[in-house]
Amino acid sequence: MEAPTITPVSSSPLDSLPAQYGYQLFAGLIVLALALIAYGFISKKSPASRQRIITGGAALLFLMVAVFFQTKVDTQRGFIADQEKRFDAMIKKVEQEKGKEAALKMQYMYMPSAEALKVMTLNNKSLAADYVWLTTLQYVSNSFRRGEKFEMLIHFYQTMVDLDPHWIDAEINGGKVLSALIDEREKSEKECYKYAIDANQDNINNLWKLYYEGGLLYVMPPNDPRKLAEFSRKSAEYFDAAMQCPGFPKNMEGVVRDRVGRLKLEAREPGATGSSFYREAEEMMASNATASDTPGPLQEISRRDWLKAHSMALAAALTDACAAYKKRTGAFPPNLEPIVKSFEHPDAFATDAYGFPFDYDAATGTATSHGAKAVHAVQAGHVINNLCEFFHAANGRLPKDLVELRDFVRNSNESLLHPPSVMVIEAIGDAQSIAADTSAGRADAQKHLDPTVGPLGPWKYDATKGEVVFPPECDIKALYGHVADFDWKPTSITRKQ
Amino acid sequence: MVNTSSDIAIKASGLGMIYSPGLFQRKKVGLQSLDLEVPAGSIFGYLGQNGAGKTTTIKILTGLQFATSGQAWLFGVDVLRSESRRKIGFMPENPYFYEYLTAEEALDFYGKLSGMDRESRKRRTDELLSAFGLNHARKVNMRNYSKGMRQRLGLAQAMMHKPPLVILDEPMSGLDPMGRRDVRNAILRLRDNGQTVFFSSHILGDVEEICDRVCVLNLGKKVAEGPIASLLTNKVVEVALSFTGVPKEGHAESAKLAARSWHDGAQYHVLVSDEEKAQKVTAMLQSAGAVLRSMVPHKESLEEYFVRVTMSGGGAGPEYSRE
Amino acid sequence: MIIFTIALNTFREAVRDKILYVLLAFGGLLIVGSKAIGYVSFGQEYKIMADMGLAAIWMFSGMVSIFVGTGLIYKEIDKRTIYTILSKPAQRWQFLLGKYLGLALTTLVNMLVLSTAFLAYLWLSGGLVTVALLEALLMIFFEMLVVTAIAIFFSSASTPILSAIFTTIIFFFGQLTKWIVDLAGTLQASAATDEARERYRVIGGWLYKVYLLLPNLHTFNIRQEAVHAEPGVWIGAHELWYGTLWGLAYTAAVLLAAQLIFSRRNF
Repeated sequence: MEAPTITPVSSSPLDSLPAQYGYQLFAGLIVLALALIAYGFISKKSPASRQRIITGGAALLFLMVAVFFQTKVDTQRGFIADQEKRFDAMIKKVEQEKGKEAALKMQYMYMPSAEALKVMTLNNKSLAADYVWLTTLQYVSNSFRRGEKFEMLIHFYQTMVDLDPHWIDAEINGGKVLSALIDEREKSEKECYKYAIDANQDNINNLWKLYYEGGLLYVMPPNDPRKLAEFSRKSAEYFDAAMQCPGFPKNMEGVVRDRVGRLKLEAREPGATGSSFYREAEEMMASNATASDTPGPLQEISRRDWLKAHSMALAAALTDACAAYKKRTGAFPPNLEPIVKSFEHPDAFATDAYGFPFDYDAATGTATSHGAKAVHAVQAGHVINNLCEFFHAANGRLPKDLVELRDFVRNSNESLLHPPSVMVIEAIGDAQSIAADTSAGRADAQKHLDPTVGPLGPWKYDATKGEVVFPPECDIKALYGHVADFDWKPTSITRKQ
Repeated sequence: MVNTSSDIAIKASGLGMIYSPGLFQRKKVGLQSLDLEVPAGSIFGYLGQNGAGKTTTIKILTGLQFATSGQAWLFGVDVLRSESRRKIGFMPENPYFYEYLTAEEALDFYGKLSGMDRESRKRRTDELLSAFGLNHARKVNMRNYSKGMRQRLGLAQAMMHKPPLVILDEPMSGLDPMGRRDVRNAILRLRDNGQTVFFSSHILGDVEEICDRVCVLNLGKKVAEGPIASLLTNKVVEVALSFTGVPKEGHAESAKLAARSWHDGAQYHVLVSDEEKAQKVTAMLQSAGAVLRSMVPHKESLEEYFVRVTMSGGGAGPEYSRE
Repeated sequence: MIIFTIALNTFREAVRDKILYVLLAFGGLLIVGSKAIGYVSFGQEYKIMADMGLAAIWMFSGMVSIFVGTGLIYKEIDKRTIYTILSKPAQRWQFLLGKYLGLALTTLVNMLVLSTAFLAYLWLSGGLVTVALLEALLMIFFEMLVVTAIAIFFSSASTPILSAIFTTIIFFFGQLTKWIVDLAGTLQASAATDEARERYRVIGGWLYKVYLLLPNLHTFNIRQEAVHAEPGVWIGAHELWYGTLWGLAYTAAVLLAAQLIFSRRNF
């Protein structure tokens, strides 16, 4: 590729003088040089002294000539900042003429490849990686300043990983910066996290940190709510992988296991073998709930979560059994009795963890945990109440009923609602939105928000207070109080008699 | 045939050195088939013009160079073996030392290399510094030494371990008359102690004064060797005649026989090359009425001898005298 | 005794060489300056300080070995101080070995000074002084022992300028010799036909044989692992022992080669 010609900034002769010193100093020094030479010739000093004076004057004169030419060089090539502008202009020109690929390739010359850097630093790879890191920081700040995209970042990151794969700190921090700057999380996962993980397979003690960061990458809900299940699943997988690494710190196991359990709950997908999924989540919670080294408050939270997970697992198992019943007999069972009887331990399926009998929809063969729904309803109800306040703030009054609220949320441009956040969807989204199946996506989730119906059926609304009326079973303290119904042992959790 | 007699300090047999300066340059002959014997307990002068091969010989004897032919022994030990150097002390031409060392430190260093113990080194250092008048500068860095001081220290380090044989390369070079006298005396003292001294020099006056035997080298070949007394025959090389009663314009016939003749206003002087010519000239001038005032024969000095043997090329063979 | 005397004298001479102090000063400056670079590193200060410190010590110790070492023998010949030594019962190999040991001692002292400054500075700045860093410094020292031997080899055969050039080339090239072996592998992997692959395999075999004879100085480069090692963790003992033994054997071979040249040299 031939280098494009670079045109000078300006061609005014005055510009070629060193501006920051003022041309007066420059002219003054030239005059001084000429004066010294003249003095050397006409002075009456000894020949040796005169020769020295003339030599000094001539040296100064030549120096000023050199300075003059130096400024000419700088005019052509620009000082550092100008040089950058020149470089950018050149890249743009190449992009227009030869396309984006060619332009990107040209920019790569800005940063040599890992192999080239290895040779240039005489195999001091760690030092070369430091250089790449520092250049990356400079590049980020320059790009911010110029308002540009960060296209080179991935290349810098991968070069750094190639040179010093075990520099976990930089890989993590760099990955964080990158994922903040690059829109698609999947792209930063593939180009950065996976790249670093592949390079660190032999880094037994620290590999877990990268998996952990991968988990953190996906733990934040996506902007596109349709991707929630996928993100949660990925996050759970990464955290799982982190925990399986030999170097994973023991004192973090509890927290992370709990987190994975929650993520697996969030990652529910219709059509998946729900019971096995919920069983896994349940096992996670159980482990935390009973481990002796889990701190007290965490243990309590895990126990509460276990109640929900256990209930949902039981409900999912009942649903699976109904599906199998239908396959055998051609229709769903009219109630859960024959199903429960078919289990090894029918008593275990008599009620959910909260003590409620399971709700059953004979038309769809679906069993659900009344207690879990009650817990869900508590959360959903509070969200609806908050939305009423939103309505009040927007319209100066409370909604007269939940239908009015529904219309409001479906058309509002509030950032919480447009598009609706995960929290809102979980509270008042329709089933499909809640499922957030990415393959049959729900782009118009907002249009399907419905605060009129909750997990336990249609809401009762108190217009005077602008609040929903919670059904009696939605007493969160009572619900959580069922933790006391169980014996929590490391080997098993059993209901007290 | 190795002469293991301890009467012979240095023996060389057919020693030769051919230099190959470079790929496309002609080979240079440094030494040609040198045979040499230096008796123990003597002072042996090694003479020759610049480039004759003196330093080459010395370097071969001291292990700094390797002869391309022939052999040499020091007290019966082949010079190729490092043991041969146990019995020698060597002072190179214009000796140089580590600039940052003091005279004390330098002598101590060389003493260690010669295998002396600490006590001996200390004692000998004091002795030598005193003997060579360097006590006042014993703690001065040698970068501040004058040429004469360096030369003296060079001699001192060569004598540090009281070696039976002391080899000196141009020990008097660059010294003033006082310095040369000191070195001559030092060499004489060495012989008095029973040590052998082998040294090369240009200063023939000094050589004539102290050497027992000399060897003359020319273009890598030995041209003369033997005691000075016997090399310098009583051969008359020149006779100076002075006459009165000769006219100012001189005497043409006798002038033909003379190497030089001139009238100084009072006397007529004639220089002839031998006694026979002196007789003829005297007869001629006396028959012309002149009166002989003086006849002085000059015998050959070492310098004249040296010039004679080194300038004579072609068919003149080497002159030897052994006793 | 003779070897020891010459070694000590060489050490004394080397520590008076001004170039040593210039290099020490530059090395020190680089170590101290590394903190400034660390400041703009967004939290990677200690890693960068450690990297720069180790690289500075490696580079400047190398320069000492090269510039002082290549002048060493030549100066003796040029200044003719060698005459008064070799005319003693000192054998030539004793002289050479003494010179080598003296220079090795100089390198050791030089490295101790720089290493102490580096580790103290790192520790005072809040970084960790791990055993792995000490191992890396030890390996740098072993590398310098090999480089010094190579410098002495050239110094006994050639002028200081040429010796310095050759030794510097080897010092740099020795870091990258693995590339030769990798090259063969790369060519093999990218070969289009079976024939070409076989050809490259044979070439690769020969390249590996050549590689075995080269001064593979990268063997001593454990700086990257050292910077990432946890406190109290020793870096791969086995490989390091083998590397050290290789270094000692190679040094002996080079010094013996130097002696081959030196033993028949006319002064």
